[in-house]
Amino acid sequence: MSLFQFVWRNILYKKVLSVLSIVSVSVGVALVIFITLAHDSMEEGAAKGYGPYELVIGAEGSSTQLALNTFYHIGAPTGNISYEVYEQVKESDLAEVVYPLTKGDHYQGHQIVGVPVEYLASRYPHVSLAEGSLYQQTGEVVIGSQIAKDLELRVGDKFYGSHGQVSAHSDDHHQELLYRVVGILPPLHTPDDKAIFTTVDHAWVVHHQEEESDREKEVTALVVIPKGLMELQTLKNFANEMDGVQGVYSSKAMADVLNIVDYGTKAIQVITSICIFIAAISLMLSLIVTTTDKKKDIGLLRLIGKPKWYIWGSVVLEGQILTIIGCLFGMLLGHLTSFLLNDLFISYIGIPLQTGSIRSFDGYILLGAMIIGFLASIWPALRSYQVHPLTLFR
Amino acid sequence: MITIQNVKKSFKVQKEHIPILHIPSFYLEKGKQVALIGPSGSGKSTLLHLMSGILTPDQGDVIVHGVNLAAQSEKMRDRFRAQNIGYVFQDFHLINSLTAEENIKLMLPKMARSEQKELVEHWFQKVGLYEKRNHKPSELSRGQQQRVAIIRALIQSPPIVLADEPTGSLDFENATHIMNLLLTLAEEQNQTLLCVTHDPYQIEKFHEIIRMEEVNEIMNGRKIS
Repeated sequence: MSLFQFVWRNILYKKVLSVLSIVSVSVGVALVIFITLAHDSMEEGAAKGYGPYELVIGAEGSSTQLALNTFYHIGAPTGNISYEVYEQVKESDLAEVVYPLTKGDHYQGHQIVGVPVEYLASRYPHVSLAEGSLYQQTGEVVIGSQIAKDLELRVGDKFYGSHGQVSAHSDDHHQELLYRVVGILPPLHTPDDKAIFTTVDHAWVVHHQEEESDREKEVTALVVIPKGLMELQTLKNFANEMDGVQGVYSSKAMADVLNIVDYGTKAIQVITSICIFIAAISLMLSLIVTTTDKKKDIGLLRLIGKPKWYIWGSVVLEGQILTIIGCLFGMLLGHLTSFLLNDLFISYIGIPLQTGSIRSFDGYILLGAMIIGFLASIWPALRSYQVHPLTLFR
Repeated sequence: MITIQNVKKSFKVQKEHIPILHIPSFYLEKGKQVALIGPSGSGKSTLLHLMSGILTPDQGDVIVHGVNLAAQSEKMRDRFRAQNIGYVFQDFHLINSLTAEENIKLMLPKMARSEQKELVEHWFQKVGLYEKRNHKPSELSRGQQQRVAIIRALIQSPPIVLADEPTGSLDFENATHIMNLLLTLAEEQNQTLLCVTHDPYQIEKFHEIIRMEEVNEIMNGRKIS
């Protein structure tokens, strides 16, 4: 009978204790998996979120709010700026690309983003629509994949927008403009999955500005790809010099957001560390109980001539088996939790979790868990190592 | 086969060394079936432990099957015990997490699976427990458990079998059956059997009876409970 079979029989024999150890390891590992997945996803989401647009220009206020609203479609914009700002940036010869964005309305809590149709090709150059075609006329919209899924919208469906940006159940419908879905984007794994794209002038129609002159028209923000680093700096200064306008480095704003996220992550890391510590203690206690309960069995093994390493190895192996099973369950639980909370993440912060794929980091988690499991096994293993065959007769 | 010369053994109890054994000379011939009798505390179990290498004497030689166990390291004594000694206990000491068959397999060295299966099944048939071999100890009667323990002690055909009151917790019928089985199997394999027993009905079945009073000098003038 192999050492593994012997240990496995023992694990099965004390089912309750084994299950408790496995559960405690699983919970610790699941938390680590979920937190690292969420953190990685947010970092990647923050990096991918603003695409090639290194500068965002909008109304004065919180730079983070401006970036979050422009790229992540979260919260309210800082305000509106004159359409003339767009024309000045465009004519300045400092920007390679500049697109105006108009915002202010939503449908079922999803922001309606007015932007030239070229924006989509510039932001996602290698992506084709999953269904339909791009919008061309006022009232035509292309929707993100998540909205299509959540609201079960199909090409040809029509809806009215509501005023504001956050109320999902607002009855304050704008009857001025009936939107019609003409295209659906494929999953982009960016906040744009939950946005509704339409023409810039939709906001002017809804708010009766379409007849006004360009000087009186407003946009919410400009996203800019500058021609170079010098031009980036110049454009930012140019925006900041204007009354009620600010220029914000997209990367800087996102770094600020990530810093805030990091504080939260650190707090959760502390809780996770406590969970891992509890799991290690629980495993150790389980092994101590086993070695205490089975002192006579260990004495017997020693009496029938099993060497000390066999006894030591049986305890360490038991710890490792429980750790590996707990770790695998924990990984499954962590990924499953991420999968189940994915929609929640997307709807709240617009960033999807990287679910369904095993990362190389998961291997490190397994390795780390095995090391912790080994450390937790050492003391009980040493206790059983010292059991004398005479124990059998006491 | 087993030679003990001038062996002394004491145990430390609360900083005081209490002498337990002093055996000037003891010899056990190969293939003999010997009953070891004596009152509680007379050192019977200690003698068995010295012969199996679980304990080492404070002084003297314990030569078993040509090896002086007193001079061996713990590791060497473990190995020697695994190869040369079969042990049968009063309380069976089967491992509850394993089936009867697994309790036996745990004893066996590495061998081909088919060979192992054949050997184990052969022994279960021999003791009349073939149908119960996949049962856990808790599912067996006390007599059946002791039969499994006997297989465990004898299956590797060790030259020496030490039995410490193997019928002590059994009723008369079971005790007779178990003792007959043990004696028959040991005889078949020409094994030296040293059996501690208090049962007067079983003692007469042995080739020889050794009284502890005759071998342990410590007992002279000491009160034994």
